[in-house]
Amino acid sequence: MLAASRLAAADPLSSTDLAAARKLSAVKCTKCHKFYEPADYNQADWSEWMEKMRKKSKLKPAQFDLLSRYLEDARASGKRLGTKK
Amino acid sequence: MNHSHQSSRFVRRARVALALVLTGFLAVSAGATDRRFTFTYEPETMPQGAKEFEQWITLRTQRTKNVDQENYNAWDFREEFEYGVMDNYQIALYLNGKSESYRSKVDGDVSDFSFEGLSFENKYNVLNPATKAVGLSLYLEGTYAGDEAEIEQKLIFGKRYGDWKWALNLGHATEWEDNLHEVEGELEGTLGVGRNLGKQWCLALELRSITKIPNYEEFETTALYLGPTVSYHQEGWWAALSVLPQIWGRDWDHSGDGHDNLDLAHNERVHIRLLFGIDF
Repeated sequence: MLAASRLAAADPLSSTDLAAARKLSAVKCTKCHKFYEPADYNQADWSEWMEKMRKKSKLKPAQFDLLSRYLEDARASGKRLGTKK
Repeated sequence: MNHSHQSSRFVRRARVALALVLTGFLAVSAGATDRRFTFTYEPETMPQGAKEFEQWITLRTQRTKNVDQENYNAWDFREEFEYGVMDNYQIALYLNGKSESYRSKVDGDVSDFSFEGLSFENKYNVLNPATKAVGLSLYLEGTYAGDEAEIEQKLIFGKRYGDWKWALNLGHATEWEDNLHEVEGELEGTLGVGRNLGKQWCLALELRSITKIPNYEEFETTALYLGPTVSYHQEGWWAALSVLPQIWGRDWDHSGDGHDNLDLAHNERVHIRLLFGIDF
């Protein structure tokens, strides 16, 4: 949870990072399962899921940090990413 | 009084147990190689570095006694080890075994177990189904069993729409038999359509077509199978079971199997397949 809070409070992602995070989401997340909106989860549940999926999708530390920031930003702000794939 | 107290304690324990089970059920999700179909491959590939063991058990049962194979049963066993080389490329090694039994007027009761060699699989994801209109993977598998060999190619299409998913495979295989002196072509098409029921279960329907062409000269047989597949997905493992009866068949070489709309001379009446996979 603390890690997630720090991620949400970090500087906004650059457009390059956003593009990389979206690509990661497509390759590591939505290739295997439908997209779950982060905004539909509380922080504890979302962090737990992220940790489980980190292992399952073999995310490297840098990939996990970037994806976590991207998705946690959306979760914390309530923004719906709307990827229904 | 005492009986009533025990009953209420039992009910409380049952509720706690049910809550624990439901919590466990809700806390999992399907992964990349969790299969929703047993005869139809899906285009997704494993994440880089992921490893999985899969056990395949297929029962092919019931041929016609007109071809002297009464009470026919064939069990195919495959042990598969999968590895994600890259996010869009995976390989797998199979150990193949087969147990076959039937009653023959000539040979009596026949029962045989044989090692069917090793297979090596390559699956390369060309179009990611999450970002493209249709997912596409290329599949190449080679099998070597001493006096027999096979090379199999497939185009694997597929796409998921929310809880729905479909996959289509178009395949061709060349088999070398009889100490590599005989050659046979095989065309296979499979289609699977499934729907997730919650996070754990998926119910699907699979259609499979098989056509054999000995020596690539003329069609010997075509058979169509259609049936349900149910799969269950838990954290770290999954299982899928299909029961596909033959719905139409034709023995083009007129083997005389005594059935107008089924081919029970070269193909079986029912195919049943159980798969289970374990991540590690």
